[in-house]
Amino acid sequence: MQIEFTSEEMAFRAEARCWLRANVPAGERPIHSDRALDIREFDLEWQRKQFEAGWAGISWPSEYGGRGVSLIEQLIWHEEYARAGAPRAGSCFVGLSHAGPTLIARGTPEQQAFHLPRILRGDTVWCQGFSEPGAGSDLAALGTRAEIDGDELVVNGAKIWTSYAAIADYQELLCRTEAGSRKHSGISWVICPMDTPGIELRPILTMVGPNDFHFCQVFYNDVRIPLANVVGEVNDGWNVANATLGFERGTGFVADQIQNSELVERLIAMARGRCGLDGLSPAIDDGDFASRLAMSRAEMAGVRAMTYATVSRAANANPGPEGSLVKLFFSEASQRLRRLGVDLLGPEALELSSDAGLTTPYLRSYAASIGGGTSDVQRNIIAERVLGLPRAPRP
Amino acid sequence: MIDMEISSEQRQIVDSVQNLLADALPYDRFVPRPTPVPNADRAVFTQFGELGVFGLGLAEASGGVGYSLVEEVLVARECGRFLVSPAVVATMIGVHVAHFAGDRSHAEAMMRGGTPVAPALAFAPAATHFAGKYHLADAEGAEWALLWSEGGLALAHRDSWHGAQNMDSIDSTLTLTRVAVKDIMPPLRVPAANGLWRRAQLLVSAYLTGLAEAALDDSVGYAKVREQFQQPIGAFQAVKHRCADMLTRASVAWNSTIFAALTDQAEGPDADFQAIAAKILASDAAFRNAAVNIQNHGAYGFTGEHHAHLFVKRAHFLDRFGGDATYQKRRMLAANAPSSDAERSSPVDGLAG
Repeated sequence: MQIEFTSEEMAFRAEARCWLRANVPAGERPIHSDRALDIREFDLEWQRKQFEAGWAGISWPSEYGGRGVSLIEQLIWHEEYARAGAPRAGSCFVGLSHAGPTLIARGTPEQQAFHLPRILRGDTVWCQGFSEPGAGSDLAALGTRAEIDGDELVVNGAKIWTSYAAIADYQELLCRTEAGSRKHSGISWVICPMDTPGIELRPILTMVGPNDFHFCQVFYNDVRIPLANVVGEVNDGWNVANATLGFERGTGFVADQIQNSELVERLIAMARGRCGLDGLSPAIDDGDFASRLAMSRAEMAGVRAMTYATVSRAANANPGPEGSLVKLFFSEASQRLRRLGVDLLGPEALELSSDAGLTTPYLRSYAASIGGGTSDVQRNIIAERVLGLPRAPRP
Repeated sequence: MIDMEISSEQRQIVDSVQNLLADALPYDRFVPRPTPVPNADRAVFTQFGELGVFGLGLAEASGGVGYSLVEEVLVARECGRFLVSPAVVATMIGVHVAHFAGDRSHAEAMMRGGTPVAPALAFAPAATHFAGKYHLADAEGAEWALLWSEGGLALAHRDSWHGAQNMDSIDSTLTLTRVAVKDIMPPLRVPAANGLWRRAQLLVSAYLTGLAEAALDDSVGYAKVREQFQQPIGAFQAVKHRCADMLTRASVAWNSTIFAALTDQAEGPDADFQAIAAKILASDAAFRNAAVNIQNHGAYGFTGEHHAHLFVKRAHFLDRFGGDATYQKRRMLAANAPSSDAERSSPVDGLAG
C-alpha cells in the first residue's frame, strides 16, 4: 500500500497544470437557457482548444484518438482541471463520457470513424434519451417503440429529462424494437440525429429559477432513423447501454469533488471574515457553523480518500457496485455543504440578484441525489449487490 | 503508485489476528449478568505479544517486527471488530512511547504483553503538559496508563495515579477509574511534534472503523434471517437502506483512515489534516452504526442479552480517547488544508508490497 505519485505522474501533473492554467477560457460559461446557442458555442470552443493541444478524450484509448493515459493520470487531470477553474464539460459531457465510449465498445468501424473524431474535436453535441415519463429508476420499463420498416426504424414515444436536447446534434436513444417484449430484452441502442423530422421538444422549467430550462421532454412522432444507426445488435440495447457504465472507473466526478473541497475552504474563509448572528464576532465562532464546517471539511477529505481507493481498486479489477458508495456519500455530503453555504450567507441567500454565487448552485444541488441514479437506487444496489440482502418482492 | 489495496502479506497478518480473536475472544465472552463483569481480555495479551501485535510497527533493530503504521492500523481494526479491551490500542502505542523515550526494557515488557497499558481519557486535554484529571479504562491489572494531551503522549506508571476512585462504568465490561496525574512531564513521553499522536489517532480511528463494520455485519446477518410479514426484514427498503448507509459510513471511515495512514507514511504535508478527518469520520460511523444496529434488532437490540449495546458504549470510550468529536472538529478547523501545490513527491517504496 502506498499513495505516492511516480515521477512520470508528477511530470504529467506539471504538464497538465501548466497547459490548463494558460488555456482555461477567460470568460464565464453562459448558464441561462435563453442563451442555449452561446452555451453550445462556448462548450464546443473549449473542447476544440483541448483537442488541438492533444488533451481531448483523456480517458479514451489512443487508437480512437484519445489521450490514452493511465487511470491515475486521468485522476490527476481531473484534479488539475478543477483547480485551474476549467469549465465543466457541459453539453460535451454525454458525447465524451457516454456516447463516445459506447461507440468505442460496441460501434461498427463506420460508426466509430464518423462520430468519434467529431466528438473529440468539438464538432458535435450529444444528448441522452434513456428516461421516460413512466420509466425513471425502473429504466427497463421504457416503452418508446421503434418498428423496423425496411432499412429504417420508425420511432414513436417520448423521452424526458434530456439535458441539452435543444442544442444537441445526436441522441443516444433507447427504444423497444421487439413488440411485446418486457424488461431488459427487446431494447435497442440507436444513434438518433436530432434534426430528424417528427422530433419535438418541450423545454422543462427546473426548480432553480426563472428561465432555467435545463432539460427537455422529447416527443417522437413517426421518426425515421436508418437501421444502420443501431449500435450493437438489434434487441441487445440493454447490454450496450451497460457496456460503459464503469468506463471512467471512479474518475468521472473527480472535478466535482475538487470543486466541493475548494468550496469548503471558501466557506471557512467566509465564516472567518463575516459576522455571525450577534453582528460582532465572526460566524466561525458560532458553535453550529463551526461544527458543520468541520464536518464538511472532514467529509470532503473522506470523499477524496474514497475516490483514491476506487481508482486503486479499478487499476486491478473491474469496477463493482462499490461506485455506488461514493456516489451516495458524495451527493448527500455536497448537498449538506451547499445548504451550509446559504446559511452562512444569511439574509442575502434570498436575493438571487445579490447572489454571492452560492444560492443558485445550492438550488441546483437538489438534483445531486436524483440524477445519475437516485440515492434510493444506490442504496438498493449497495444493499442487494454488496451486502447480499434479499431483493424486495416484485410483482 | 496509488495502491490502497491490502497486499497478500498484509492479508496474512490480518488473518492470523482474526483467527486468534475468533478463537480466544468471541462475542459470547460477554455473558449477560445482573452485576458488572469486567472483561478478561488482558489474559490473552501474552498471546498477542507472541503473535507480534504489540511490536508490529517497531523496527526489528529495536526488537519489533519491523512493519509500519499501516499494518498496525489493520490490526487495530480487527480489535475493534471483536471489541477487544481498548487497552490493546494503548499498549500498541505505549511500546512506541517507551521506545522513543529510550526505555528499552519497558518497551520489551509491553511488547510481550506482560504489562498492559490502560488508555487515559483526559477530562480536558492540557495544552503543553500532562498533569490533570483522567478516566482510566480497564486499568485493573494495568501497569501503565497512556496519557494523551496536546503536548504529546506519555506513560504514567500506576504508582503515579493519585486518588484512584472506581466509578460505575457506562460499559459494565470495562472498569472505569478516576485518577489525578500530578507529573507535569512524566519521564516516558513523546512530544506532539514527533507525530506519534497521529499513529495513536489512526489506531483509535481503525478500532472505531472495525466497530462500525462489526455493527454492520451484525445487522446484515440479522436482517437476512429475521422474518416478519413472511419475509426477511432485509427485503424491506427501510431496513436495507439503513444497512446501505451503514456500509457507506464504514467505507468512508476505513478509506479515510488508511488514506491518512499512507499520507503519514509518505510524510505528506497534510498528514495532520487527514488524521483529524479520519477520527471525525470514524467516530461518526461508529456511533451511528451502533445506534442503527440496535434499531435493526428491534426490542432484542435494547436488551443486555445481545451485544449490540456494547458497540455504543465502546464507541464512547474510543471517541474520548485522544479527544472527542467536538474537540476533533475544533482541531479540524484549525488544521492547514492540503495545499493543491504540495503534492506528494519523491516516491519511496512502501514497507509491505
